[in-house]
Amino acid sequence: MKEIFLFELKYRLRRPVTYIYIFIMFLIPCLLGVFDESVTAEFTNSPNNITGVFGVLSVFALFFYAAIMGVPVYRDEEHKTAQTYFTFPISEKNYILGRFWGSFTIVTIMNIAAMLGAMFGYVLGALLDRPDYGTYIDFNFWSYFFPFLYLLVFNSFFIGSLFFCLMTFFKRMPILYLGGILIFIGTSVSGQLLSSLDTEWLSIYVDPFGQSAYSFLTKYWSVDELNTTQLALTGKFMLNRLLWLSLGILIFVFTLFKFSYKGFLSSKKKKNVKEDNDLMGTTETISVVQEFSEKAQRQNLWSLSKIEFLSIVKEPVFLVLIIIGVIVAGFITYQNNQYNGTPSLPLTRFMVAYVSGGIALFSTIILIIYSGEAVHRTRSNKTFEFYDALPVSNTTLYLSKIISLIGVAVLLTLINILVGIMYQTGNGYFDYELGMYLTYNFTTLFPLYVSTLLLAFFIHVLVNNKFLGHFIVIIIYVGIPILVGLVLKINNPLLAFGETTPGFISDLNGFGHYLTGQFWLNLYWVLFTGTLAAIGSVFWSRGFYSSAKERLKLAKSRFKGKTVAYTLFFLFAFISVGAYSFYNIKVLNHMEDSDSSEKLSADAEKTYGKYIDKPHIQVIDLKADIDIYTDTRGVDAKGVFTVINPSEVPIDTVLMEIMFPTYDTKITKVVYNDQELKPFLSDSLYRLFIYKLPESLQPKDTANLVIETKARTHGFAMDRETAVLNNGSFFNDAIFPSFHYDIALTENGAREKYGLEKLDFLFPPRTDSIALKKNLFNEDSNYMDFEATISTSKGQTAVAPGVLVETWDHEDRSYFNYKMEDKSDYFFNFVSATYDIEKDVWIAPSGKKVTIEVYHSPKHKKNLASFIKGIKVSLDYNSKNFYEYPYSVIRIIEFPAHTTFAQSFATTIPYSEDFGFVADFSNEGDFNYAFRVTAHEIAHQWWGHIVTPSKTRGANIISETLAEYVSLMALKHEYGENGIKGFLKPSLDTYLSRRSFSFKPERSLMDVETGQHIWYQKGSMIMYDLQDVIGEDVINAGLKTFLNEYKYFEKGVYATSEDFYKAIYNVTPDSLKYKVDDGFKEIVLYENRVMDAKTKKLDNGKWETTFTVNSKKIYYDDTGKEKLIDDKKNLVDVGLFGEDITGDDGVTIKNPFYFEIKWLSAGDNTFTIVTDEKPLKAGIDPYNKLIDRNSDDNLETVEE
Amino acid sequence: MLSITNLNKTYPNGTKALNNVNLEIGTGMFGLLGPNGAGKSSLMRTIATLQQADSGDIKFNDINVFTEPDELRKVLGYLPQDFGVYPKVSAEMMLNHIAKIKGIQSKTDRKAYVADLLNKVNLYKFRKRNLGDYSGGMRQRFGIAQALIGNPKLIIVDEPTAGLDPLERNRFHNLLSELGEDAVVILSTHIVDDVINLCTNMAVFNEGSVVVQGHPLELSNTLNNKVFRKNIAKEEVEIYQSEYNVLSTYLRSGNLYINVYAEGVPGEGFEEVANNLEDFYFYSINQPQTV
Repeated sequence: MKEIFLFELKYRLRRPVTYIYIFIMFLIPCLLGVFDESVTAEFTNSPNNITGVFGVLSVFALFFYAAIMGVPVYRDEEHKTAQTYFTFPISEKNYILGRFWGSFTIVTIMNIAAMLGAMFGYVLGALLDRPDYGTYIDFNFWSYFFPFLYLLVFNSFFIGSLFFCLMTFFKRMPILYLGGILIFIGTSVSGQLLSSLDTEWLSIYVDPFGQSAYSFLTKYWSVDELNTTQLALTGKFMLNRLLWLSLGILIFVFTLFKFSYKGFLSSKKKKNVKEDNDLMGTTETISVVQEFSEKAQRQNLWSLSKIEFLSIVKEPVFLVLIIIGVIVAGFITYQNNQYNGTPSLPLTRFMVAYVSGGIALFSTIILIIYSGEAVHRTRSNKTFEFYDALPVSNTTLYLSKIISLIGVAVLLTLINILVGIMYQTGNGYFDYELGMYLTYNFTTLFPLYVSTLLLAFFIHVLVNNKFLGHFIVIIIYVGIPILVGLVLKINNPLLAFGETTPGFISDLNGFGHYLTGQFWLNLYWVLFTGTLAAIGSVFWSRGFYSSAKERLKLAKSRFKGKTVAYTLFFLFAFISVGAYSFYNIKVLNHMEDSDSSEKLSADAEKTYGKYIDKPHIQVIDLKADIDIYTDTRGVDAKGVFTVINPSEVPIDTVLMEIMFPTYDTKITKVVYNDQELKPFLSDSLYRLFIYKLPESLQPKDTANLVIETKARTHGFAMDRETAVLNNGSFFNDAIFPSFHYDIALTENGAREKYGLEKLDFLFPPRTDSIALKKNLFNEDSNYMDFEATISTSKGQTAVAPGVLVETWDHEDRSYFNYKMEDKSDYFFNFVSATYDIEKDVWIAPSGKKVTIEVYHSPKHKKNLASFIKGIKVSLDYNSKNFYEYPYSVIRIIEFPAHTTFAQSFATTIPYSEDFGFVADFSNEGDFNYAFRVTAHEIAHQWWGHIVTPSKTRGANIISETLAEYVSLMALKHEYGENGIKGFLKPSLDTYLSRRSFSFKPERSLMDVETGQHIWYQKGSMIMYDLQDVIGEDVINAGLKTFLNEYKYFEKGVYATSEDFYKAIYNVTPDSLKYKVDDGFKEIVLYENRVMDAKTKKLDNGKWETTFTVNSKKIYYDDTGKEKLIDDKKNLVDVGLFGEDITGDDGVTIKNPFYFEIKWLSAGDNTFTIVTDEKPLKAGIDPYNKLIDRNSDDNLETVEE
Repeated sequence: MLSITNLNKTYPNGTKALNNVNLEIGTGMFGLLGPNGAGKSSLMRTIATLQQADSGDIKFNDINVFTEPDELRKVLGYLPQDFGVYPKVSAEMMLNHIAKIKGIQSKTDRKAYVADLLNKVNLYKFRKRNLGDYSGGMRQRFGIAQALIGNPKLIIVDEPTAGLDPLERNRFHNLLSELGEDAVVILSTHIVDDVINLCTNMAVFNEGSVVVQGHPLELSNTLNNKVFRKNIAKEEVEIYQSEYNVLSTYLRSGNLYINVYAEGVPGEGFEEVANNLEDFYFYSINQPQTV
């Protein structure tokens, strides 16, 4: 055994490719380490981040493990040494052991190189002065060693023994690919499983690399835990690691005992083959004419392409890959085609995106593998020894392989379509949009497939080693985009292989204007790889070569005539298309990398920072004329403003900063009190202009200001430019310039890099008297009057806030005039598309009639009732409990799916088409988020528009947390326990899992500035709990008082989070005030669990259950460190439950036999309860109302 | 007429595969004899356009093999010693494809032609079977078939009968000699009998060079009366080898014999034997300097 072991070792160490592998294994983690960047409060070289690097590496390392561990036994087969080797006096076991451990030693050397690479990378990263890459802690050997051991060594053992086994028994390279791909699927599927609450537990078992299991383990960890906890074999991670390690050992042992020389040498069993028994009669020789024409050449090409194509598709592994790809695509489509756990309708636009998302990785792998196979096929099957002497041109030999691969690409593209249609059919959806299928797949996927295969083909022609060839292709495919994006921080699509301009598909807007840019960029990549392929043709191996020099010499001699012409043609076309694309993306349009935009913002702050908090004009009245040009995607706007000097000092200048997302937006005219103004400062780069007023505007004086702006789009851009679309424009008041400057660079690392002061808080404290007078949404106005006239293409409907006063057509345009009935904050939207309008009426408690309108795509009629119900319920709830709805109209307006959100402007709520319009709510048990979100957005009419937050720390909770609260109450009343369950469970999960992403220390609810998970999810959890213990009516009474005090800026200040807190605190009984403090001012996590529960039957037929629950409440500081374990009593639900009840509608709810809220002391609390029926489960906080990182142990089975 | 002049080839590891090879080969069967590693396959590959030479020329009639490889390929039939196939393609489809490549454009002609060819190599009933499922002998016959497509003017066959049973071998030899009537056929082999039976001309090839060239019988006759045989003991082999020009040592009915080359009876116990081409072959590869 020792001999074989040493032979294996020496064999490997003598081969140069081994050192290349070792070097690459060193280099990848080194680069990942150097360029690792932390934008959160986590250290850049935290144990967690280092583990992440090893996780990524495990995937790449698969190639090297396969290359080393797959071949040792196969080598004896390939080199035909097996026959003799096995006659030597070596036992089978020793043979296997020697080969295996020899190879594994090499693999371990590679893993050690990787560990050293990571160490070197991070240490180097820490030494470089780059504040924007985050902060580093001291070097800790164990942070590298543990992931090396638990990830790399474990993975290499499992993968090694698997590949070793596969090759030993199957002796065929394709099996190796299959094994590798199955492992890939394991990782990608486990990642998918992890993304859903219902399936995340499965990821532990499915993930061969341990990455998903690690992510699952650390899901709810705080930044502090991520920073300080070393990787250890615990919990879910241990389960995963031991599972796959044991599987590895099992496979190894199996190989060891199952391997026999005899079995290895026996050839495959004969297949049944067709035989024709008819014999030919004549043997007279037929004389034939031979003719070598151009036409014949073309036919030869076609004929050989067919043979090559058949050689790919008749390969069983190819078929297996396709089948697996289809299954995975189906699974990923199922996983993705939902929102908040509720399925979406299987629309074609979802199908094309999800199916290709699921199958793309496969298709790419298939194309890369088979490009390699196509290059090597006639060599590895030795056909070339006679075939290359046939009168077939080099071009035919070369092109036939490419044509066969293009055939495979067509096949793969068609499979995408087929899977989509099958999925739709399976779901009983028959509205196939074939045009969309074909357009998407053949304009987006197919060109990428073609350039992928051309690239892979070229690399394989140049590199005469299959593994190395595959690896180089992968590096170019994955590595270059990472290099360009992460290291060079350039987002130029012309530099990252396969990149195109972005786009999206919408039911409203179709493919929009995006196909143009995608066409040119796709063409660019096809031509690029076409150029490579043309050059590659001279390197095609025909016959035998004795040296690289000879090959080069031959290549030179072949580079003539047509080859030169084709190469030059491709090169010229490539350069032309590249230049044209560059002109569009970079000259006609603007594209900046993140570094330069950071620098621009930093420079602006240095120049204009002095204007912050300086008095500026404010708007009291706006009459807007907006012309939307949907064909050219442009806007002309004219705003007639009445402005006021709200301050105590005269104002002599007006600052105007253009905030509109369309890059080419210009202020074309500024007229102040009938006098045209020219800026004395023009910063067209930052788009900031300063005008001097002809005479100072005195305090409290008003003036007339007319501003005209133009926004234009040109050619195709890297920006999706969603403001104005062909059908579905949606933009807001930013079409007019802002009158004040605000800082734009908030990330502290970047601020430090550019010499700006670090910010602890983004907003001023709640005591700042200037900030208290600032409206959080737009400080350019307090409450104001608004009127708008919008024109758009005929056939489209344009909408702005307010009631529709008048509409008319003029020439080929339609005009709409809207007027706000009451004052509102400076926050308006403009929308235009072809709509159907669904109307309804809601009667206010006072008897006022309010018109309800839902502007929707003619395709989206399915869920309109949910929206209207949400509107009515929320209008009712807010009007009855707080203040009557002040307007006579309320609308929901659909906009295209470039983003998934809804935004509440006064009277008008633009709503993404993906946020409920295309959901499938047919199953009652599924969470109806259309209703929920609508209730939330309607609530903003009060919480946001009637009471507007001030521009201070935490004030946004007045808007978001209260809107969440109202929607939660609406759910409670409409859907009961099931509705709440669908809300609280994901809220808890989202809050806990996002905590570690805080880029500042975690703030309390009262101080939150940027954490959505705090103001939405934590906020709703807290509010739900408070109304649960204090009473909904009491809370609402407090909120009503709060609203009345702060509505419409009547008090002269805007509300703060403290005011909100006090409003609740004041109505809360003393004994419960701790809950208000915990919720608003602290970071509190409970660790509640059931310790044990036993029941026995009493003589009277009743059941007496004794159960012990453990209650623990921990206070954390803002870095995630434990601050205090509470020793006081807390109010917590306890209960006993029977079997869940499933209603006729398929909805499952809990069945409490006993349920009460109790004061629990810290630690164990035991209860003895008698119930009529036998309880199955005992629970503490069984409905998960409290924030608890392990909610699974809150309910436990009762033992008898 | 194939003429090879001053052909040289040295591999990067220093092996001189072709050492100033000069050969003129006319119509008919030409046998190429040589031990393993003599450079026969290198020579054949080079003629078959599959390998470059360092220097020298190969001309077939008016075709320069190095500058017009495609022209040569049109009239070439080549059966390499070790070759493979597309495993997932049937023999019929592959031969049909090769026929197309060899310029047989008429579909009906081609079909009949391929069928005839399959029949000739006795593969007709296996024509639908994938090549990957062929046995070694069947594959060899397929190789023969593909080499014969399109009535080649230059046929190069490298160890063609390896793996064929005697019946198939005869069948192939007949085919080959038919073709040799109006084509140049180069047969590389180390079966000396095949050369005697089939070839009108031959060369002995060793260490990259042509050792001798001529008519097999005439060459064989040059050693008439100069080959002697002796029955010796096993332990004497080395002594004899150092003292005599031993052509071969072989066993007959368990007794060890040596054949020795000498101008006259070399000594006691030796008897003159009826020499054959094999003796000449051994003679020429052992003593290249004397020829």
